[in-house]
Amino acid sequence: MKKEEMLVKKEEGVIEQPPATTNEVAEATEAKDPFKTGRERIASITNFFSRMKEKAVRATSNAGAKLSRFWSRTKSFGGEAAAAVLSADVLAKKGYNYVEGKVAEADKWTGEKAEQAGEYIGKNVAQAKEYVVEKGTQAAEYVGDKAEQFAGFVESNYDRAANFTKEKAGQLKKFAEDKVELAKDFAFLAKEKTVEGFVKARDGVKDRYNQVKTYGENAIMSAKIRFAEVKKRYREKMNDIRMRRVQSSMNKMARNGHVNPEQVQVLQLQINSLIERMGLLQSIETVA
Amino acid sequence: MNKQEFIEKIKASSLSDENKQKILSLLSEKELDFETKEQIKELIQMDIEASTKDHLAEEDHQEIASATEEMSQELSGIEKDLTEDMQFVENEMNDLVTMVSDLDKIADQMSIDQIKASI
Repeated sequence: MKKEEMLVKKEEGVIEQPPATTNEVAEATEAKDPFKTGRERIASITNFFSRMKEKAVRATSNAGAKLSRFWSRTKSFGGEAAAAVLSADVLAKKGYNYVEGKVAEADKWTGEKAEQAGEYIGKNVAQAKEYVVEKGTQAAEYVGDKAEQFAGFVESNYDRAANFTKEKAGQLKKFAEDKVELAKDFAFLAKEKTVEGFVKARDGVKDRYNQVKTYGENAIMSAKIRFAEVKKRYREKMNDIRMRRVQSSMNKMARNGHVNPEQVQVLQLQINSLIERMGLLQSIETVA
Repeated sequence: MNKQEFIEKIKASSLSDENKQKILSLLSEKELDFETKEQIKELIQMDIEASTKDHLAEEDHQEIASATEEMSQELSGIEKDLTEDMQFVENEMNDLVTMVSDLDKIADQMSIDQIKASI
């Protein structure tokens, strides 16, 4: 349309608005829906949890499968092979210097973790409860690290996961201490070359696998619980704003003296509806 | 409140038929654990959002934006912690794989020594 034609149409009051751009439409929609950002942020974390879970499952399944094969292969040690000893010569030829390096590494790790843990402990956070590892676990248990089993928590594990954050410092400290102990077991094995030493190191690896796996499960579930708490507070805040606004509309109408019975009825219905739904949100928390 | 009482409450509620059916399906098909409860809360909240549109004032928008920012930061904290925890698990599992591999070699050597001793 030419400029002159536009002016004429404008004067006649019939000029059409140019079509809105994509950005304008998006902005207008967002302005109408101020909850959109919050909804999207909440939705984004769901994918994040899936990615983290996959990461843990991958690492755990890989280690579990290797441990499982190894466990099956060596479970007879301590029995028929009780008399076997390691050949110091062969170990020396291989240049098996694993132990010294691992002890140093573990000590360094302990120092770093203890420093991190210190912050929590300084705040009088409860010490982590001792983790009890069931002895005599069979190899078959390690194979079952399927995705659906990892972090497949139900209510019975809720408390354990809920306590994860406050017990985390103690757990990390214990992991660090255990790693040093494990390195010492490897050192003993290399030095003494006994079957007993081998079995102890092997059991140590198995126990650590279970502990780390449980740590991962608790971490995921704990994060989900924290997420639910944040979401709950946010939801309550948003619903309070909604309730305040509807009540405010009602009050405004009363103050102005322009009471429209139909509008009052609509607003009252909205208030009742909000109260009912907010009640349902509270009820579901207590359903057993 | 037990599960049946809650089912009755949902049935008698003024929730939209669609959300009501979804909630009842969840209640009948799934165990009422943490995850299921969270899904139900989402559906109820969706219903609230659908039934209270177009009643906000400018000051509400500001308050919502501020609360959303605060919530977003809290979620970032959760994401950061979990990322670190999963990295820890991954590193530890990798270390365990190395340890298993080392022990495996030792087991090989013990077997060789056994055979040598028996000859």
